[in-house]
Amino acid sequence: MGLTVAQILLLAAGMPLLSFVLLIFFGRRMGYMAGAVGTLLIVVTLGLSVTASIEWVAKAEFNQRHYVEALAYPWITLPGVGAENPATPRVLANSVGSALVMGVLVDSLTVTMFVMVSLVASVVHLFSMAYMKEDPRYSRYFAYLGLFCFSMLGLVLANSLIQMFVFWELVGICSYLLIGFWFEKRGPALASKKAVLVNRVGDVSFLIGIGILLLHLGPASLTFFDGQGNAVLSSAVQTAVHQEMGGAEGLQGFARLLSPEGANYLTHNFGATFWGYNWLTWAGLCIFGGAMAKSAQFPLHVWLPDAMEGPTPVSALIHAATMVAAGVYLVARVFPILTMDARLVIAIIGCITLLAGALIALVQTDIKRVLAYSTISQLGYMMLFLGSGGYVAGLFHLFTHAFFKSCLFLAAGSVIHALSGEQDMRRMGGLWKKMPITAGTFLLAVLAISGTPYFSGYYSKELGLAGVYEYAMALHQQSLDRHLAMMLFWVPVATSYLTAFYMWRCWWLTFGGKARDEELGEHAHETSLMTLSLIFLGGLSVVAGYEFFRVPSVLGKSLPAVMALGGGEALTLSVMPSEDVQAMVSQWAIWAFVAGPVAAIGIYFAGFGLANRVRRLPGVNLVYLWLVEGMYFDALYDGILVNGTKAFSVTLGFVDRYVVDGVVNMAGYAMRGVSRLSGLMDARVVDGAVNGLAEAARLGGRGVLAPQGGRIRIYVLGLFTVLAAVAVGTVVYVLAAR
Amino acid sequence: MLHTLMPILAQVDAAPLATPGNWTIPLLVLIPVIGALLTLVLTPKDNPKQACILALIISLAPLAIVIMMAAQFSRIAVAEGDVAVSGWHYQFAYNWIPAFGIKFLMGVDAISLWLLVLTAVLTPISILASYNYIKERQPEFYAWMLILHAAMLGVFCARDILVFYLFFEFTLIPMFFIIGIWGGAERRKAAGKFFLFTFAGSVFTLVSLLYISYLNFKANGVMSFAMDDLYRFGQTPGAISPHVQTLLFFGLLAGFAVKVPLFPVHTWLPLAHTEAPTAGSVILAGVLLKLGTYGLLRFLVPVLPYATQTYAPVIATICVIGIIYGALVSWVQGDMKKLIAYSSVSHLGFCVLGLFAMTPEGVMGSVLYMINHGLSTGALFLIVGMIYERYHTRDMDQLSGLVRRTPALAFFAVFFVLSSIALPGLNGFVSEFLVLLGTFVSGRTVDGVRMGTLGPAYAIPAATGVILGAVYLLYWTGRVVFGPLKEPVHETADDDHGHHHHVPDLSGREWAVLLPVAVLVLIMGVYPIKVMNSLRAPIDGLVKSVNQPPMLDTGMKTADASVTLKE
Repeated sequence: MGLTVAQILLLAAGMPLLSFVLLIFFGRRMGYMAGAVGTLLIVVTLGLSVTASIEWVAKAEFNQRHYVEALAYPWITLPGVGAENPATPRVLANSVGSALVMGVLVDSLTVTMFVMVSLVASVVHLFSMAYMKEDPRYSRYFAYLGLFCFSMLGLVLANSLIQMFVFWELVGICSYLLIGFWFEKRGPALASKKAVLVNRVGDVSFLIGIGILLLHLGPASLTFFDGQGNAVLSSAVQTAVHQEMGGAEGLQGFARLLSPEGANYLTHNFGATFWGYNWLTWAGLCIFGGAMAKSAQFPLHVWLPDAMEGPTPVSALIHAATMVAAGVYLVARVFPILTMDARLVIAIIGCITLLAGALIALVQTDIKRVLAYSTISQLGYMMLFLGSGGYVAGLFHLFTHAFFKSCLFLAAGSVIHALSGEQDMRRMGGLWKKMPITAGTFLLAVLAISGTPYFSGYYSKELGLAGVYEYAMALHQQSLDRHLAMMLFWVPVATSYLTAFYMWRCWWLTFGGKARDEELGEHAHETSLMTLSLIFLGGLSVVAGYEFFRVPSVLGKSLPAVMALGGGEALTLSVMPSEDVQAMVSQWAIWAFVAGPVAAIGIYFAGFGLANRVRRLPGVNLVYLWLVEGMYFDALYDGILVNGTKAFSVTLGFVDRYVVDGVVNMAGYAMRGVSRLSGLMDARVVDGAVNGLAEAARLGGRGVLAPQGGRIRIYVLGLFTVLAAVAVGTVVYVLAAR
Repeated sequence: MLHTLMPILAQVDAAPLATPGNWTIPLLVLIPVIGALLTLVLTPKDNPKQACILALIISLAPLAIVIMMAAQFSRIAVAEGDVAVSGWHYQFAYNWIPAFGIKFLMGVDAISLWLLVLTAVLTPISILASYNYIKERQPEFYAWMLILHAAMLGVFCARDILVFYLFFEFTLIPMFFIIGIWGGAERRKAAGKFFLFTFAGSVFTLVSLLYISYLNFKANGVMSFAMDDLYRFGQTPGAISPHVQTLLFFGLLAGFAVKVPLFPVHTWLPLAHTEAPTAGSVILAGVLLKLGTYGLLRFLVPVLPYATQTYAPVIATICVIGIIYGALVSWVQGDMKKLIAYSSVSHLGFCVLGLFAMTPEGVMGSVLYMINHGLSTGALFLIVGMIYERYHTRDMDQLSGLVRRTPALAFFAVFFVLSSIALPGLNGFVSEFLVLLGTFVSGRTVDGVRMGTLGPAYAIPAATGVILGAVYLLYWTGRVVFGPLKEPVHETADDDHGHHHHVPDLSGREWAVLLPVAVLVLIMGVYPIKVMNSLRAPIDGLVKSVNQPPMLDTGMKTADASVTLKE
């Protein structure tokens, strides 16, 4: 065809936009065709993405790692601040100069994300055709899906932080529209608002991160790569650090900045510090703040469980595979500029998130909420992997997770559809007889998420955990307390047992055992379109990690090699654990796939009986309550943050009405008093213009405003008198002062 | 001092005024005035609604002229490149009162041009929106609207401070009557308060303006009120002592701050907005508030650069307080119009913040903010007006789930809310983003000159306004547009006994009102580059003149200026 890879991808991203435009304008007339149109277009996207990825991987073999195609679309100009900073590489100077040029970035990460997003999106479209069939706003639904896919793909293609921010916000708004799709109900309306607001907190943090980089590097450096495929952002950071630390010192410094050994050294030697962190660390942390909201990291995870109010296929697409992936993707894109301090924070946040998510998931009885908390937990894993330097592992886990988690969500959707909207696992059970394919594919995904050997999740998790082990060891060899450092490793290992347990519990309670509500499940059945989608995703959750697809090695090529200044060796930015370490680590984590099902089925074999007895034990009951309420985060935020702000706002409202306005009114009354006096005295002195004005006022008012008009005249007279006095006084005072 | 300045000013004075120049602008201003008279005279007594049509047609004439100017202007801008720093075009000059050096100077540069476009777009739209809303004394209403139109157009064209002040104040009179006669229950109080507040503030401004030209006169012996002369005078280091600059700064600020409105002097705004008819609210939010920011940009900053540098942090603090305060107070309003009125307090905080950042990004963002806020907030007032025409209430407790009843209206409501909360792709994002980044990088030293005096310390708290903006507007959307359907019970069931009124979705006229604004919102979101390119030259000029390095001690009497003001 003669198209470059970038053009193919651009075309691929355009398809869902086309779908959005078509469906929003003509969707209602299309009827059920709307779904088919949307699905067809996204499948075209999938085809194009696969084509592009095959072409790109072939190219990448020849060491072309990044390719940027500038779009001839100047969107906004950033008037040339920062271009004068010598730290700014001038490679892009001609094109960036003053305008923010939109670019299409292609590298292994982009094409992988494209394949992942379009694959899951295609399946979700297909599934939705059956799932949303009865909805009155069927075509609107597909229109929103199209807009969402476009925004997500646009985000992946973005070649600069600002461009990414644009799509970042668009993704957020699409999520608002989709979560709140059933806006007539209270729940979805509130949940969608909450999602936007929590995400806005992240957006502001992201924006501040951009601001810090802009302040120190200039606008041209906010691009990731230039037309030749050289890293712009990371080399600008490198140069800036080099300059601030001076000469060879800087060279050493930059290496140390990114390696575990030198973290402490740098905080004391480089850059202005604020609370002990230099600006680069702050920039990284602020950008990570954006990722925290999108990727539902503790403590900004609260919107994700509520987002389950949206249609289930939406949860599969947005809250499993794509939107939440955006945060991880962002961290991966800025990975080369994250300092050790920033990475440590990311790792710790990830570690807390994965544990908290898993703990809460243990006790949930709503099938979608189990999956939601499980997603939070898995996203925590990804962040931990990235934070500990496992660039490939974090993204690999993102890739495999997308398939098995969307499979889980869609299977749950199939169940919910069959049970006409019931989501409570306490009323399920024994469904495997009625829905064998759903049960089977769900099981495949459960096996994948619990790290069973030869299933996709196993490969990514083991790789990541090995990286974390090396990182924790490195930290511990530094000054950090041994036990604290090793927590970073042991917590995820222990959590992988919890994961296996709650996922098996979820499967067993839904499909295994006996039916707890015979009536509900009586007419349960599967539809062919849904099972087709499930089989497809179930298969992928098994094979996505296989060596055949070479995902890790392809992903590895996307990390820009940061060349040492003055031509030294390329610096290692990420950790790639050795085979030995992987083997050793897997001894500890691997048994989850056995222990999980044994414990889960053992406890829940005959329903909730045993579990209920356990949770009523003294002490356990408190923990249970704490977990079942999601650790009271919602209560904390709603009760203190939201209500506190609201109460404060109400107070401000009163202050505004009675104090601020009151003071002004008082001044007005006082003025009126004065003006009455002076008005009486000086009425004749003031010139005719004022009288004319008042006269005009009276004429125009034609009596309607007679009393007011009269008063206005007095006001005006008075005002002029007083103000003239003030003015004269001022002039006299100033002249005297000179 | 006199001797150093004389040569420059001699040149200025020598500029011939024999030919008045281009008549486009006087025509622009005169058409609505004549139109107002025509509306009063020609409207048939038996069909007063025709006044609306008449006024609409008349108000389209300035729009056509302004569009023509914009088209020509972009050609000029391209031809002259970045040279046209203080590029006044369509200049018109007339020796008004030669004895006092008062000249009727008019002209436009890119900044005023785009504000003219905003005015010329919003006025026909708000006239059309009043077709059913105004039920009595229509001819007068539309006449006042056209007079207001003329005054607003005049403000943005003025190049002489007395001409500016004349138009600036003259906008008060038509607005006073629009609120006072066709407003809500408390219209008189609102009109009076509106008038007094703005008038009281602007008297200080007048005094300061006069004093500046007096100083200029004393220094140069030539009486002039031309903006260019006063810029040159004010930007001459040491021409005005810091002491006087301070006084003048706050004097000028008084009038403009009330108009904007900045934080403590905003209380006239919610009342005026709530009581004004829809058209009044649209024009008030869309254009009249911009007179304040425009005044700051045209006078305060360029005439008093040193005071601006010194007091920028003070103003920025007020802006940040206003951003957060406005947003929080907006959140707890029960009246939709009040909610949007307070949102203006918050939004214009951003606008002024960007201006006082004194970086190219910040000022660019600020100017775009003026245009974008006019479009988005104007549109939101139109929406609220349409809701009010249907339900005769603006109480958020009584309304819910409008999307069920009026899907098209709901679509536009959500669209403009998204534009107002700065969704990328719509207009609000560009300006808000630029203002925040511009404030963030303010205070950097570029080529030995410090650009602005703000920095992250102001940008970061201001950025919380981004969150809060989403809070109150999505709260409104969630309450009124989405959620379960709830409509007020009508006590006065007209013909249909006891039944609900049939609540229609958008009529063709209402589509014609909302669609142009929506299209502009979209264009300003995805393709603002044309506007931005034409704005670059005047903004660069402004930023340069404000941030010029304080000159060395020239041995003048007021040399202490350079000492105090060297950051």
